[in-house]
Amino acid sequence: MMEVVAGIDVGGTNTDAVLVSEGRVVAWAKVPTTPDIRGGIVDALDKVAGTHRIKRVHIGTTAFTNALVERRELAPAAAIRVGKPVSESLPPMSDWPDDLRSVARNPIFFVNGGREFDGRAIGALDREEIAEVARNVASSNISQVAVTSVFGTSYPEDEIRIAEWIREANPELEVSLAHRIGRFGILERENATLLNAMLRPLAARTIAAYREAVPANLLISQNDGTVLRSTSAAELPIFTVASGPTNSLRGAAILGALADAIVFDVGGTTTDAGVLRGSYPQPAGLDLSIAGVRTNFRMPDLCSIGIGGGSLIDASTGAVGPKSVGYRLTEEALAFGGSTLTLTDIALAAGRIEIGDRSRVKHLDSELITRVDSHLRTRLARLLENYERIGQQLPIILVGGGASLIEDLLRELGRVVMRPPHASVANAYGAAMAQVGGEADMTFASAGISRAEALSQVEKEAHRRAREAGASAGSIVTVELEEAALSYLAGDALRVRARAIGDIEESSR
Amino acid sequence: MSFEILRSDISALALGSAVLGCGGGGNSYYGQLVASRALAADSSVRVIDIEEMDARAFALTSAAVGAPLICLEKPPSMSALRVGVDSAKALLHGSVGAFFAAEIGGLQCMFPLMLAAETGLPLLDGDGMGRAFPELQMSTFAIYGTTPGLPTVLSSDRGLLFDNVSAMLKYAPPPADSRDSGDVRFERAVRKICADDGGLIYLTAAFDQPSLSRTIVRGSIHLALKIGRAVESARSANTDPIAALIDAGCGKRFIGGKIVDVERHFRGGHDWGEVRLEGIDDSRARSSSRDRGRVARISFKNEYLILWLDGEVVLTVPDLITLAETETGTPVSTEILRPGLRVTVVGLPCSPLLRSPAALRAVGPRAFGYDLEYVSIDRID
Repeated sequence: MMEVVAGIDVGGTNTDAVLVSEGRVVAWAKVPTTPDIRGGIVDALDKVAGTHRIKRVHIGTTAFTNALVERRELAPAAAIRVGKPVSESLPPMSDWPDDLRSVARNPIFFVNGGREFDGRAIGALDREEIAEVARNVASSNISQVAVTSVFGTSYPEDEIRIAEWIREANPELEVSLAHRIGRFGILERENATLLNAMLRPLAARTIAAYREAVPANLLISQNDGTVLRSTSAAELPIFTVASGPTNSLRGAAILGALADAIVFDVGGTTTDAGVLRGSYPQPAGLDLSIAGVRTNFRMPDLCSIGIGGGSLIDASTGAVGPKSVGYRLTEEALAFGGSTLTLTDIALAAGRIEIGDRSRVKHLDSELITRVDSHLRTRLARLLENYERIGQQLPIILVGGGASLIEDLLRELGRVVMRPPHASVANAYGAAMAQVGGEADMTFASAGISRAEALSQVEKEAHRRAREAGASAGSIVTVELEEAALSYLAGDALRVRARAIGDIEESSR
Repeated sequence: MSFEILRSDISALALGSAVLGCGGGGNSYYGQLVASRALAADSSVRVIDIEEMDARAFALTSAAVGAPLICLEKPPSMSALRVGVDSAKALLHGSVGAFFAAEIGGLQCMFPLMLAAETGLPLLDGDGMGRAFPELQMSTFAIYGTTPGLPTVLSSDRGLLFDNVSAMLKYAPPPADSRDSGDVRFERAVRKICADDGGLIYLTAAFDQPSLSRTIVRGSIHLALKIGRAVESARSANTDPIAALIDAGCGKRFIGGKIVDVERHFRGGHDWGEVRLEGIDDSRARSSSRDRGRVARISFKNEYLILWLDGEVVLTVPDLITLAETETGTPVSTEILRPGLRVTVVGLPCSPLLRSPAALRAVGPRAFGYDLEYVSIDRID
């Protein structure tokens, strides 16, 4: 009887589950995703469970992303902006798509408080003003409140105080605080906080259902490659949005046992490439938009090209994709008796894969295969170049169902290629192997503090939050420490951001 | 040569301004949003040439002074702008005929646009730089001098901070060593007030029409709009946005590649640094660029200043060095530089007003501490 962690990836087509013990996969399964999500999770777990004792289940879910994209099951949330009169020219939801704004019907309140970059109060907090807002919100049958304060990431006290006063005035109200959710940049931080508030009732229901479906302690994947306790995830569902690509990259990193590598995830329609630096996905430079709303979350730096197992082949030029037969591969490809020439057929004719009926692709001449290969080599080389520096050749980790289609070609480019075992469930494996983390983002006026002190203070706060998230004290490391100067000021004010991660404390409940 | 700006033009104007901002001038996203709220869907702002303005009227400029990053917590404030304009009007013996941008680059052009939208007055097609610079004495108004004795006002969200019928920009060529001219001293005083008041304040200043027509960089609003529209059309037509940017701005492509290293240090309240990139062959670039194996180095002080290609200086300030994402044509500001970004380096010619000996003293490489001669984009290779 082995103690294991289960990783589950709920995808659009399949729900994958893996059981992991000390980093090794001991069982895995792919089952169809069910409309209620829960059914698929139960099926997948039943398939792998055997006699193993599952101590934790990590789930990567798209439920909350889908709710936002489809504009359904969203609760109205009051937007409270703290820092009157600062920022009144840019009210909450200024950049939301009209349809979401009208679905949400979120009331807006500007209240006194907030800070300048150097910590001075913009205005004094007013308890009665907050109580009045709380009464107003409750009387419109709204249960969710999002509080966003000017310079709240550096000086969170105002938001915390306001949350206390709101709960005092009305214990029924659930409060989401921007300094716990977003980063520097008031509108994007507030956007993320409002979306979070709007998702909370759904998150509470969904996560309760997951908890019933799994036999152990439940954690939920976040978009930064870590997991969150299910109780926290019910309060902070926005952190679970867009966790899929990160899980794939993390899964590939650990299965491939490489810290710095390029990862190719080859599917039926596209190949997604990302890069690992120090075992973590390199983040994209641009902010993430969720369901048409800008947030200041970061996503992995991904590049997609339209090359996959179902890609159509132009027989005259050898060009591949971007059109694909997708999931209809087993009906439409030549190898399966169909009439469409796909990349799978070329790979079969070239002897790279064993699938379908080889006699159906016998007629494909070697010249066509050569043309397709040279087309693929050019495109793969270009994709690789995006991620590399002169004189540096990163090894490549191949994952996903279509890995064998391009493996030989990458080797012909003189590349080190590895296809780790269990590459087809890299995403669920990444979920199983996730750690926990914490992040802090603060601004300092230089007068009161040295640069070194500022850096260490933010680092400490990130460690404290990682600990709070369930990391064991000895395992916490800092993975990001960035600073930016608030230029043009006589004093050199600094903004510092830190992220720390660590292993999950085994006793953590 | 007047034309109209509609709400639907704001994103193009912002994009073009960011290109002309050469990596500085702040993030204009919030500015665009506030301007879109000020400009009603069914109205427009008329943009006129300085010669079309009444010669007896005055024009007002409103600019933000402070740290661009602070704008991310304290978005543009209409009330602070209104206080500035009202105080300047009260001190002014005459009527206001237009608003104009002190600096086209970055988000500064959004403030006069907001005020023009709100008041119905026109916006002048011009600015004091034709790009972005970090300091007041680097504007053409300071370089060529304007009429003294006109109001200058500082305001913030808290209201009026300072008003003065100042001799901020004296009608006198600045001394050869412009380190200590009146403008430099004024710049320091303003920064001090700014740091004491939350790091972001608004400066409103009045100018008379004759000195403006002598000193303003003409056509910069039109140019920003043209560049922004070109990039936006290229995106929707799925053609090369960098080529569109270069055509619209009469610029030149230097290298396309990816950023491999960013070095920053903070001195005297400014963001100094250097970014290095390595070339990538770009199949889309019409020049069928062969940049692989080439290396570029760009130094910046808030804005990109000097460009080295394979170790040789190929372009310097005051000409414009701008970085844009190769894929989308989105300008890349110095704040968001990081390894891995795929960018193309584009040069654009600066206004002839910035190429005189007096201008080069104020804004040439030496004004930024580089012992280099000005290397212009127009030199014959």
